[in-house]
Amino acid sequence: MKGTRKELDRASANEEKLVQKKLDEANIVLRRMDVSVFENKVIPKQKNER
Amino acid sequence: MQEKPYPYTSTNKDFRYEFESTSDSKTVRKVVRITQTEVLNVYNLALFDILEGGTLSDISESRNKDLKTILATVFHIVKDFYTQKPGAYLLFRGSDSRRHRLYSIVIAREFNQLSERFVIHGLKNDVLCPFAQNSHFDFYVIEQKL
Repeated sequence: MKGTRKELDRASANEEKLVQKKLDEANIVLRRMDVSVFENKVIPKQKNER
Repeated sequence: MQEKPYPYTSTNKDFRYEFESTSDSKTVRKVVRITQTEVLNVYNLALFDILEGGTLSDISESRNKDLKTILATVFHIVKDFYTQKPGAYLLFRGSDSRRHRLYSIVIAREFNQLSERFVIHGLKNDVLCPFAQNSHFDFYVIEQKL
């Protein structure tokens, strides 16, 4: 991306703000639900790394 | 999803992907961000346009008539993500009701092909349900078949 340092910083801040907004929307729903449904999948490789 | 995707660049550390939507009249830069939610193993996917000046928008309409190519590109990005997070769940939804319905239509249309690799769910009334055409879901949820 072309632009001055200030423009780049502003663009980056804007991106993070928008990404966080999207994340907040997802988290609001996740907080309301039984998230144990997402815990059922066991990845053998990850398990072995612990 | 048989459509040829756009080439994309990625910073896999934070799952940030960028590509360009092109037509005869213009080029629109797009970014896909996949971020970890508060729930372990659950990620959120968001697609934005990068406007002039570098700011992002999730409501702009590029009108490049390349929806199939864009979705094919996102599909490839999702596959790339799953090479690193094979057991993750991926949430996404449209930024407005029109886009959200459109995603449902595309999922339904491509369901057989998507199902070869993924399990498609939907979040409805805060419950994870199997995806069904003509049902309204708050979020669509992808899980890779292992």
